[in-house]
Amino acid sequence: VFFFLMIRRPPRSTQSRSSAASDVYKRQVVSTQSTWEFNFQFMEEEFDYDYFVIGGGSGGLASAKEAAKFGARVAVADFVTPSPQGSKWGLGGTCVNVGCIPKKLMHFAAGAGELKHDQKECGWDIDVKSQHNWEKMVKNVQKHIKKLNWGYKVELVEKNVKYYNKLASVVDKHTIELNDFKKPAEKVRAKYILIAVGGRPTYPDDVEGAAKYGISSDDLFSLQKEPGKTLFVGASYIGLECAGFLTGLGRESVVMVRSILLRGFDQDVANQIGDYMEKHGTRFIRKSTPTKVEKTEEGRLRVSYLNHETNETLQEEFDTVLFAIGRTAETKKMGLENIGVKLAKQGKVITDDDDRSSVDNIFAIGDCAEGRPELTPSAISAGRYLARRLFNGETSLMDYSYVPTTVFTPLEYGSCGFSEEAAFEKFGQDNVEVYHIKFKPLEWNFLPARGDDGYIKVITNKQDEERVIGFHYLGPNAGEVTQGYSIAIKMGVTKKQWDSTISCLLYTSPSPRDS
Amino acid sequence: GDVYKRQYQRRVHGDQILKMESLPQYDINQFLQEENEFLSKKQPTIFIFCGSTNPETGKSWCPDCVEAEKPISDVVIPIAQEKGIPIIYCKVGERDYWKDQNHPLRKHETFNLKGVPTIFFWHPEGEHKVLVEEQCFKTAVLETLFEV
Repeated sequence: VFFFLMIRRPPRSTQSRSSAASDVYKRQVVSTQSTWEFNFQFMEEEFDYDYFVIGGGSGGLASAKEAAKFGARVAVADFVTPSPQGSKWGLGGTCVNVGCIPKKLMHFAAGAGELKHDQKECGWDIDVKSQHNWEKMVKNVQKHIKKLNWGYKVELVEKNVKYYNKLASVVDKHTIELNDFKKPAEKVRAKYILIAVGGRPTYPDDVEGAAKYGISSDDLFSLQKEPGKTLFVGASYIGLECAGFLTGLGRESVVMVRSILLRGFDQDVANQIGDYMEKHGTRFIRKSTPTKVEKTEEGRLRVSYLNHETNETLQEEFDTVLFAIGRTAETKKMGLENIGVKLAKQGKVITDDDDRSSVDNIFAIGDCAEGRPELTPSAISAGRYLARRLFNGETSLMDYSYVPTTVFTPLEYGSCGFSEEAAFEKFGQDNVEVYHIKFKPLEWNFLPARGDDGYIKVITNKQDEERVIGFHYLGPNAGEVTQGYSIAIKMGVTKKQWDSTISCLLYTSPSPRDS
Repeated sequence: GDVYKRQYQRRVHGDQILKMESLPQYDINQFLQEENEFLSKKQPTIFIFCGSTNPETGKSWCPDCVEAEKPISDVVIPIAQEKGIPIIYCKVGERDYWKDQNHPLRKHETFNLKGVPTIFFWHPEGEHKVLVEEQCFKTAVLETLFEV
């Protein structure tokens, strides 16, 4: 048993804390207002920290806070390298700053605008021609984001997690170098390291002018100037969600698609989403990829693109061009390969079920880990489970099966489980039964123009009591709907049990329950 | 006029650091009367909301407010003074008055208080920073108010 001199941590001065972690953290003293506790479990003098988390996003912060709960000495390093257009942001990662949060707010803003037409028919005195103020929306979205940035900072301080606003790289398996490019770089040593660096939008390297003139989702949500007529290159969820809300906000939006929409998702539903968006004002340029972006004399952007079907090269002018062709893990230039951490082809960290990399004390979760869903709740959960395994002796592993997800296109799409294609591939087409129905939410009937655009598809495994293995919902409030059903699916609901549940929602006939 | 500024300056004697009890205090009615003036200054301002003083004990009825007095005096007041940020100290009222959900500061458009003590660092652009209850006890947490 070790006995340590109880040393009173010097009261914090009103100047900013020194960056040398070792003097403050050498003795593990967790202080509260008037009591002194110490935890000798983690008293490894050779390390400054028990757990060093690189990346202050959804996964990193959740894991750090959970570990600190168990008394571990934890630090988080978060640093945002500016985008090619110069955008940067505060603590919280992609989801909070340039992902889920601002996206959902702008999606809501667009929907609120569309509702004007329904409101008029409901009897409200509304001017359906009223214009949208981009600057005001961005200001309010950014205000909310900054509140979250600060809230996370406060939370880390409250939970005794040290926060470095510096770029971290690994020197050896226990040593991290931290650099903010203002003060000299410092080194710290940690027992366990978590890589939670997420990813950044990919720019094409074969399109002249792309990085010079094109923006990405990193820039869109803080764009000071009105975007005007915008081209979205890429038709996965980022491209479609952004084009969708920009159309809803009244700007001319065009989506350039190389081949298919929403790769990896159920293609039947993906095509219905495309049809809905086209019907509601988003234009699609299909089977095409851009070749060049240049600036015109008037200051607009002229995009040259190749149609792969006709082999024609065409041109069109836009005010803004946004690339949403994919995301790359931020694992380059971190020194990972030098110390033996194996990366997959696209740069993601290869991990086992324990989230452990090829180096025994280095772990990775979230977008930067190979084979993991690029979803915030999934990263948060994985981060917490990992912290419990490392610091609380627990053994539970993260279960990545049947993770529900929602795409916030103008008509929202929630899904849980297998797509039709994936189900056929895994179980064989003859062993899978597909049930589906089109529907129209009752409240849509104020506007006769609205069609039966809602869609539900339930996929079952005939060889296993018709267990539901895939659920797809295209309609309003898709997130809320899918969340509920995902519990049933995870518990192994069968089609019979599904049908025996009475509906609580009204739709114009037929009811989606009867099918 | 510069109401709070006059009161503030009256209590500064050379380099003496203001302690919470010697800050100019506004009871809830005075505060509501003058709040428009405070907010129209368009200057970042720190508002501190605490339970009123119990005349029998000489301390606030709110134990958390009492506990927060020293950290606030040690951190918030000196740094605000150094940076020239005005501090408005408002006593929200007696315990029963505060516990009523219709208390004017609970329903307030700007302040929307959820508990006392509350330190409300008001910014004209709307990017306010708010610390509530036990968040006001830790000096490290109070320091984050002033971090850029």
